[in-house]
Order: sequence, then C-alpha cells, then structure tokens
Amino acid sequence: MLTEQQFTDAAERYLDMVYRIALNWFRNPADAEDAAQNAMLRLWKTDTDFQGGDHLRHWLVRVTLNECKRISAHPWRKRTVSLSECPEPVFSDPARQTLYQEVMELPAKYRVPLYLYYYEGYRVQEIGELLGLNASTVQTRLARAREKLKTQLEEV
Amino acid sequence: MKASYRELFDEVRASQNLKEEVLNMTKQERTQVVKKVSLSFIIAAALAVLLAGTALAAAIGIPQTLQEWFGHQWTEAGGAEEMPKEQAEVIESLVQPVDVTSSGYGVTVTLDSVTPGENCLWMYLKVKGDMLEDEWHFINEEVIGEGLDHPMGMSIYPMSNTEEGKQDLVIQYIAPEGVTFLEGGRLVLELSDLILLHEAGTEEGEGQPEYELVEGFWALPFILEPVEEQEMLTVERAVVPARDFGSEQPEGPMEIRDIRVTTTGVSFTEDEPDPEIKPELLMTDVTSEIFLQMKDGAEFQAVGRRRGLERTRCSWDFPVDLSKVESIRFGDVVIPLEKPKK
Repeated sequence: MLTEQQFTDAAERYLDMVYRIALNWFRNPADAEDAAQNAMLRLWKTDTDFQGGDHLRHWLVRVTLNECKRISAHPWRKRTVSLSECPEPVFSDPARQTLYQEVMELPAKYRVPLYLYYYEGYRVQEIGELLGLNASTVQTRLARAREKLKTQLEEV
Repeated sequence: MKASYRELFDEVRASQNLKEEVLNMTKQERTQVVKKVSLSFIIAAALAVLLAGTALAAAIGIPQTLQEWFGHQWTEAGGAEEMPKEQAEVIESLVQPVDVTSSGYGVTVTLDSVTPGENCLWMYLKVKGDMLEDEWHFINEEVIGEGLDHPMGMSIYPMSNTEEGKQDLVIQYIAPEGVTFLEGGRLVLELSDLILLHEAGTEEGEGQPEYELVEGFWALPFILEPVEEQEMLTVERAVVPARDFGSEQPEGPMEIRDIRVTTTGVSFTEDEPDPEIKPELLMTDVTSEIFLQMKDGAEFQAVGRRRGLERTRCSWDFPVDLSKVESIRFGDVVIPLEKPKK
C-alpha cells in the first residue's frame, strides 16, 4: 500500500494523465472525472507493491482504461452526448481550440491510442496490450487518426 | 498554423475540484469493500471465461495438476490415446513444483506448479474460499519480474469445481518481446479483486445475474529454475500464405525469416509493412493455420498469436517432444524441420 505521502505525490504527478485518458475515452468531462476519481481511489486502496515509477504509471493507465470500460458498460451510463453539450477546456491559442474540437470529433477508438502514442509515448505494441488490440490494429487506427487530423497537426 | 498535439494536451488538466476530491481520499480507510453491482460489460467478460471452463469440464476427467492438464490438452489436440513415454517425460521435465500460498479476504490461493517456455509461462493455481460457491473470476492477474512490465497477453483456464468453495486454474502468461523464461528468475504472481456471479431467479427472464465485487490482493512470490537444455528447430526463411485479418481472404504470399520451433512454441520475423507503401499488408495474418506435424501423423495447431515489433510468436497447447517433430505447416506450405540443435 502507498503511504499517504506516496499517494499524494502520485496524485500530483499522474492525476492529469488519468483525467486526460478518461477524457479521450468519454469526451464528456463529467464522466471523465468519475472514471479518474475511481482510478485514483483504486490506487489509494491497492496492495500492489510498485517497483518504481514506471510500474505505478503503467498500473494506473491500465486501471483507468478498465474504469472507463466499466463505466461505459453501466446501464444508466449509456448515453450519447453531442459535442455542443460538452464544456470545452479554454485554450490560450485559437489553433489549439480548433484542434481540440477536431480531436474530440474522432471516434474514441482513435482518440485513446492517439493520446497514448503521441502524449504518453507508448509504443504500438504496448498500446495494443493495454487496449487488448493487436499491433496492426493500433497502427491502422493511428494512421487513420493522423489522416483526419493532418491539416491541423504539427506532428504529421 | 498547425497546432501541436502535445501542447494541446498540456493545457488539458484535471479540475481543482477533482484534485481536492482525490487528495482527500487519504482520509478514507482502506478496508475490504464488498459491493453488489450489475455491469453488462463484466457479465460479458465473465461469461467468456466461464464458457471456456465449461468446455474444459466436458473432457474426460478433470485435471488436478499441471501435468494432467497438459495431458488433457494433448488429448483435445488430437494426440494418441496413450501419450508416448518420451512426450510425457518432456512435460514432466519442464513442470516445476512451487507450492506457495497467499491467504486473505476469505480466500486462499496456492501456486501449485509452473512450466516455463521460451516466451510463455504456465501456472497451476488452487483457489479455496467459502464465497466461491458460485461462478467467479479474478479481475487482475499480473506477473512481476525483471523485464516483465508489458506482457503480451494472458489466458485463464478455469477447471470445473470438484467441490464447493474450491477451484483450480491454469494461467498461461505470454512474456514481453525479448524475454525468455528459460533463464529462470525471481517472479511474483499478483492477483487482485474477485467478481462473484450470483444467479438471481430461477426462471428465464426473471431478474438479472448479480455480481459481487470483492476487493482483495494475493501475492505469490516464487523462483523459476533455469531450463538447462534448450532445444530448437530452425529454418532460415520461407514463403508462406497470408490472409486478411478481417475477411480471412487470401492476400498473397509473404516471406518470413528466422523461424524457430521450440518445445513450447514457434516464432519468426515478418517484415513489418510500411502502411504508406503497402497498406494492403498491414492487416494480414500469416498465422491463421500453423500446424506442427509429427512423425506419427498427428498435427498440433499453434495458438495465441502475438505480433511484436520484431517477432511474431505462437504457442503450443503443451510442451512438445521435438524429437518426434517432422515438419511445420503454414496453410498448405509444409516446411521440413532439421534435427534439434542445442
């Protein structure tokens, strides 16, 4: 179990990551916050003996994705939220605002691998293991997401 | 002007409200929580595991050791009614007794024995607990050890309950790319959280199955002994048929290199197609039909394909006696195999 200080340090370090993964999953900040809260609660309660920061980070990514799946499957969580109903973050640069809208218009199956690859730096194989997909499927989804965003993304 | 994806998400942060809620979690006690839930996703996942166990129970006899389980797999795969002595000796030589137990939260888990392969590890578990009267499964299973941060997969095979409150499991763990279990090492099998399935109502359509979540954690440390003699059959390169993942229609032949057949599986290198140049090869699968062909005419199909960045790997259902292997078949392409070399 983590000590109180260890948990606080982990929260400071990884809460944004957990929230971003969930936001890419749900698009809706309210659901994303629920999933993030559940994932961090599991971190607080787990008996896992973490062997280094990477182990804890990877564990948190897996748990967050599991929480997203569990919430998605819950009967009264099945709802479709239009983009116009989702409060957006406010960005300092209008180009980022546009990019955020375009990213959030992608299907979740593209958004999540895109985030894990480009922001968290996971390899294709690792993303496949986290999402239960084979590496080729991950590559295809990344390629299709890049194709849709290529007019907006610097990385392409 | 184009925007940076990274800079975009640098500005996406958890709200102050969420941060405060999370930091306040340390005021909560960390006690065992039992919650009744009804989640359609977990129902689907649990049923998938349980159906696998049901199929296993239909076989003759219920295995109670890793050796017996491999024997069951041999029979299911079409092996001769009586397993040859040399084949049994190969299995026996690779099974390592462990006998480590972890108890807590009303459940006792014993890691009875393990069998290491080049890139997979079989583990035989015995689980006991009064709450295990209905169907159940662990939510998380993880093997901790050097280089095992990102495993390529895990398969769980529950045995039929021989009595209430007891169940045996076989777990096959597929290692990350580049890791071999034949070198031995110190490992820990970690299991966490149980989902219990309680059937509600006896008539079809009455009520819904109820799931009970038991939060718990069991750690089973063990030492894997190195395997001294590592046999391997190799082929430098071959041209084999490939199929589309989705439609399973033939996509034309592909070349594979550095084919290695071991007691526990087969691996080879596929040239990773560049999606910009050969998009049609991105979704191909060369492993839909890989069979090990034995000298007595039996064939054993490869299972559990894992495609890494450098190698593609499959396993056999049980450790195979390489001295009895004649060839390996990819679809209708048969490749003779040389004598094992060490």
